[in-house]
This record gives sequence, structure tokens and C-alpha cells, in this order.
Amino acid sequence: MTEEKNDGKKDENEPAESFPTRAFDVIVLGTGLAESLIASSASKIGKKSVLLLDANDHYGNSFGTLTEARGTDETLFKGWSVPVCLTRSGAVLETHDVVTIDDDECLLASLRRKFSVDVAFKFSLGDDRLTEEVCNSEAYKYLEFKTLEKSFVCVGTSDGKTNGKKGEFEFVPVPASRAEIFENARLSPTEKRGLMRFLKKARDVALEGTGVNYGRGDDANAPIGAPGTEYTLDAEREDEGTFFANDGDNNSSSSSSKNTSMKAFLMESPNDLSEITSDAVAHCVSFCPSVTTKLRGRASEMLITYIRSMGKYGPETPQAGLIPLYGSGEVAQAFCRVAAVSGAITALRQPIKKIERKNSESHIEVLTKGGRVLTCKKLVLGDAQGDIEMVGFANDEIITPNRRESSKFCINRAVLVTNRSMVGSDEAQHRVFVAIPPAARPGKLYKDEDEFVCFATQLDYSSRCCPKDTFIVHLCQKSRRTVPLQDVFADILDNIFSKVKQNGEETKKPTILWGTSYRTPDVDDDIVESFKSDDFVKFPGADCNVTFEETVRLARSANGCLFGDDANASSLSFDTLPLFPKAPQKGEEREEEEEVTGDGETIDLNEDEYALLRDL
Amino acid sequence: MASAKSSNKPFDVLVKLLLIGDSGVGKSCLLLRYSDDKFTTSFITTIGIDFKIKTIDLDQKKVKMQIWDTAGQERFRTITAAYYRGAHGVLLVYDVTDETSFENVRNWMRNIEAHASEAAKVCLIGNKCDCEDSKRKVTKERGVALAKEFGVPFFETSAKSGLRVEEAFSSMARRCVGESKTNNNNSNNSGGGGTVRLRETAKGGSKSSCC
Repeated sequence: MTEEKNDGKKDENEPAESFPTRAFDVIVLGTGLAESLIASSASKIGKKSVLLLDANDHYGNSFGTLTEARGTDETLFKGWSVPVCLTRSGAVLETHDVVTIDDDECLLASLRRKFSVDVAFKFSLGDDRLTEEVCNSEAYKYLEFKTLEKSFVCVGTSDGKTNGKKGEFEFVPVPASRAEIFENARLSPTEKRGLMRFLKKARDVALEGTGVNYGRGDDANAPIGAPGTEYTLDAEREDEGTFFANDGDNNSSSSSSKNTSMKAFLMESPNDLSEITSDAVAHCVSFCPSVTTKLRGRASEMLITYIRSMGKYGPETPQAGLIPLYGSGEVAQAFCRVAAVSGAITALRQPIKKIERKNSESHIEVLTKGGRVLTCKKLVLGDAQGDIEMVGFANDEIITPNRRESSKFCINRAVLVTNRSMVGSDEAQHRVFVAIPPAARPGKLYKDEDEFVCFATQLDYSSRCCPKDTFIVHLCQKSRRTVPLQDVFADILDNIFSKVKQNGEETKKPTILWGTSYRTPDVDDDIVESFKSDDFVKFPGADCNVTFEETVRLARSANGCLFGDDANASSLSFDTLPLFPKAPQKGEEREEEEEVTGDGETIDLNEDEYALLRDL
Repeated sequence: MASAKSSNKPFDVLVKLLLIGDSGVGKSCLLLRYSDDKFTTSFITTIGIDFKIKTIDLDQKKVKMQIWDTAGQERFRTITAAYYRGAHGVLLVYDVTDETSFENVRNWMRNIEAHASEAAKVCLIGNKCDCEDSKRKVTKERGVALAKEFGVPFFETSAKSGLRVEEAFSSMARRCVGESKTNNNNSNNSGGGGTVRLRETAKGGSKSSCC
């Protein structure tokens, strides 16, 4: 590891041995989620020879953890005096030292084991693409999840009442069951009916064709969408096609619906939901990162995925969101292990100098900075692999740093360690998701931007990301590059958190014990609808979404292009085929946990590898 | 979920152990010897072995040992941090006929300190002690001294002959069992319901969707 660079042990950073230089079927450069998915699938399902390299000394890149990654480039706390209450052992100190950016490296290093801070925190849903891949790939053996307990949408309350004071936020719980809708005092009777009607329709669409059989329909506490709720018993069903105003038809309103945002769709007739309710559905259920996110495609699909995910794992877990234990960085690592167990060779600290497509020999040559030449039939390139000279690639296959710089947008992230939950002390509200729409933020510093939503996810001790009695809050929001980083979250910090424990006086607000913020490139411009070549794909790194969905979608699409038999693979719509097909049911005894062992067949080394190892 | 699990629990304690050390020191051979009482002289990498399960009786308790192998990821020092999650014990192995593997023990120890839980138990194992005297590069005394420095137990084993393999693993299990009781309590008290393990729970989902 880097902090041990100077201890005289030169071989610390050297590989224990050199990997074989024979030709590989697939070389994957980078260990982010999409790269790991491709590597593990090619190795396990495709039975290909796979070499998985990363230029960095840690797994995951933008899907990794901050404790191991670098990249804090600006401080969040401009003008703030931020107390550090964390010692090397993670215990709370009496004195408050002020963190400066220079301290970050050593603080992070010392807290490595106590905290698991993701560069780009994401969670999955019980029935989303990631969960499907985790189940089918056996990566479930390396992962555990906690449910996301509750979602909230923020409402600003500075409507004249708080004289001149910057708007305070109110956390409005997003109802997750029929009973919660009925009990919700905020909703008018008309709106309750409207919301119920909308969700019922959405649910009918969501469960169409799944063959799920719903039993009792009278359980008011059942989550909406959970098997057992009454909706499917209702004879009155809308046509699925008209629900999201799919495609042109003759419907006059549908021509414009293609460009309708999710939020507008909810607020307009016939849904007629209020702004708060629309925000709740658009941002806490569909996870739209912007108020302008279009209804068609991703947003409506996410709504359906969400509804399918609720109660998927039985009545004890009615929530849709699943948080990986130890943070979302574990997910990419789990797939790296799937690849390794299936025979892929993995090596970190392998910076690449040049990649060259040799059309005449129909392979791609990879030249490492160590001077080794490797060849492969297919190449996958992830983000954060340094400057690589690319020869023989089309312009649109190359993403240069310059192109990144010219992007209008960027993703802002902040990570806070706090001493109490931001939504009160309720036992069940520690792992929560909060959407803060622009409408709730009259106090924000940049007035001209009213588009992007701030997502806040709070994790507690039980998620194994932080020690007892602390919380980690991940903030994420897209913005224009011109907005200074410290302005993006300033009003949120002021409103929700308290800077210092003031003279022993307890505030109700959570105190920030430690925090950092950073900016990553917006990758939306780099995401392509289909990959063009069958020998090379490039992945852009973590996006601004709070779920893994888009990344898995991208990986599936890439996989189809690289390995699909179908000549039309690239014209297939994004994502259709899973990377890991559903394993055939091997009978009931496979279901018994104690039958699970982790061994497969052992593979004899080929002669090259044998020779290499013997030479050591 | 916790209740469903405890109703027909085939074991009392679950212990997760890891094997760590340079490639070629015989980690997988130790594992295969212990779990299946097998030994193969042909040189195999650890490809394909994820973990092995062995249930033993210890003081009238059924202890289910889940022993994880490195899946070859030690070859280029690329063990994932995730490998260490939840481990109760780590068996750090070197090869008595390979000086470098012994020198690297310190690096592995740092790796363990950086990633494994503070409560995790460690033991040091010098494998291949069945070798001819002329081939031995690391004396038993040096192994003992290093283990003493780390404050961990030491075993010289032979996966080939089976010498002290059983002893090394079961002593590890014994040390971890006392520890894992408290560990289990901690995780149960952490609030917010149990953890969701997709495999166990997906059963329910797939059942309802296929009928």
C-alpha cells in the first residue's frame, strides 16, 4: 500500500510473480463495477481466459471506497470550523481539532478499518438488475445487505413563517404502504385517492406477466406492490399501454408525452398529484436525479422495478432498497472474486502505457508501463486508468480528458460523519434515503439552477460502514461546472446539520464530526446507447444515480456486443440479456445452506504458467 | 429470518477462517487435507476453490467452519479487502523451503492488520515441514521467534503427510469460538432487523413467482 512506500521494501509494490504473456481472450483494464461484471461473466459463463488489471493499488476506482481511493480536490468546509472527534482508534475525543485538507490523507488512512466510505455510494433494489446478477453469479456468497428503512422527501418551510431566516427543511416520509397513505396527514383525501389510483395502475403494469399470485387483499399494512394487497383483485384495470402514455397512437396527448418529465406527468391530469407527492414519487421511487428527467424509459421502468422490489423477500423486509454491508464498494470486489474463482488472473498496480488495435492480426495489444506486451481478442477499458495512448481506435471510442473538461456538468459528492440521525431518534430511521428537490431549497446559493435534486443516503453502524453511535451521510447532486463545489451543499449543511457542539449546548441537529467533498466528471455524456465494436468497450465510471441500475444496464449492453452471438446485438435495446443466466434449479437439496461449499473443479495450470511458477 | 434459521440449525457456532500467504506455500493443499483428507502432488493453482465447509464437535458444540481460500488473488498481492470481512481467524502460511515466503509474512501481517477485524485471531503456519533437511530454508526456531513477536500461535505442518494439520485448524476454531459468541451478539443487537442474504431470501421470491 502506498503509505508503506518508504519502508525500504521495494518488492512491496511489485507483483509476487509476473503473469503469463500468452494471449488472453479478454483483458479488462479497471476494476469498477461494469468491468468486474464483464470479467466475471466472461470467465465464469463464457469460460474465457481473462486477465483483470487495474492501474491503481485498490479495487473499484469510482466504485471503490474513499479510504483507499484518492481524489478529494476541494474542501467542503470553506468558512466552516469543523471539529474532528475521531482518533486513530475511532473513539470520540474531547477536544476539537480543525480538519484541514492536508490532514485528510492521514485521517482517512488511520480510519481505514473503522469506516468504509464509498467514492460513489449506491444501493440496489430487491428486484433490480444488480440483484439478479448477484443471485445468478453466486456473488451472493460474498455479500450481505441491510434494507433501506425509510425514504423522505424534503420540503422547504420558508413560506413567510420563518421571517427572513433561511428555509428550514421538513422531512416528509414517503408512504410505503396503503396504511401509511391513509394515515398521512399531509395528503388531502382527493390526493390520497389519486396516489392510490396511480400506484395501483403502476403496480398492475409492474406485475403484469410475472405470474405472481396475490392472496389476501385486506392487509392495510402490506407494502404497496407486495403480494397480498388488494389491487389485483380490482376488476377495473387500465390498459398497460396507456398508463405511461406509451408511443404515438392517435392519442393527442401522447405526442408530447415523449418529452414530459416524470414530475410533470405526475402533476398533470389525470394523475393530478401535488408537487410534494410528485417529488416523492419521482425522486424517492423513480430516483430521477433531475426534475426534468424524462418519464419515458428509465424513470417509468425504475418505478416498476421499485414496486416489484417491495416485499420481494417476504413481509419482514417490505422495503425495496438494499444497502450492501461495508458499503457499495463491496459489490465490485465480489464480482472480482467471482472472476478469480472462475480462473481469471487479477492484478492491481498495473498501469498501461499504450493499447493498439492490430486489425491485421485481429487482436489488441496492451503495453504495460512495466514494458510487458500482452495480447487479447477483446479489451475492456474502465475509468481511472491513467493516460493511455490509444492506437487504431476510432475517435468516438476514445474519451480524452479534454472532452471530460468540456462537459457542462459534473457530479458533486459529499460524505459526512455525524453523531446522530438526521431524521430524529426513531430506531427504525437510521438507514434512510432523502431526496431534496430544488423546490425545497430557497436558501441555496446558486439561484439560476433549478433542475437537479440532491440525494442524501444515511448509513448507520449496522451497515458496517461506521462505528457505533456514528452515521455516514452521502450527498450526491449533479450541477453545472460553473457552480462552485462549496456552494452546492451549503444550504443543506446549514439546515440539516450543526457545525460544532456549541458550548456543551445540545442541539437537535446532528453534528458533523468529519466531512469531505469532491467532484467527479459527469459521465452521462459518455454513456452510449449501444456499443459499436465487438472487440473493445470503454466504461465511464460511476454516474450520478443512487442505484447501480444504469451501470449494470451498460455492462449488459457491452457484454452483448462483445460476446453476443447475434449479429444484431448492438442494435438490441440496452441491457436485455443478463450477464449471468439464471442457474438451472438443481433440486431442493441445493437450497439447504449447509450443502453450499465453495469449491469447483481445480484447473491444472498450463505449461507456461507452470514454468513461471517453478522459476520463482 | 433469525428465527427461521435457528429452528433447524445444524450447528451451534459458525466460524469463518481465512488462509493467507504467498502463492505456492500450500494453502489449498492444507485446506484440501483438512476438509477432504486429500493431497495432490501435482501443481495446481487455487483456481476454482472458493471455500470449504467442515463441521466439527468442540466441547459438545457443533462448530461449522467455513474456510476460505484466496482464489489465486494472492499471486499479485491483490487480495480484496472484502475477503477479510467477517473473518474470525486467519491462518497465515509460509513454506519452510522458501525463504521469500517467510520474509513476506510481515507484509501479509500488515495486510491482515489493515483489513481484518481487530478481534480476528491469527496463527502462523510453516508448511511443507516433511521436506528433506537439505531443502529446508527456514528453521523452526525462526518461525517460533516470528510468531512470538506477533504474539500468535505457531505450527509446523505438512499438508502432504497431514502432520499437525488437524491440530492447527482445530486450535484456531477453539480460539474463535469463544470470540464469535460475542461477535454474534453484537451483530444481533445492531438494530434495524437482520441482514438480507439474497440466496436465502430469494427462495421465497422465486417460489411465489413460479406458481
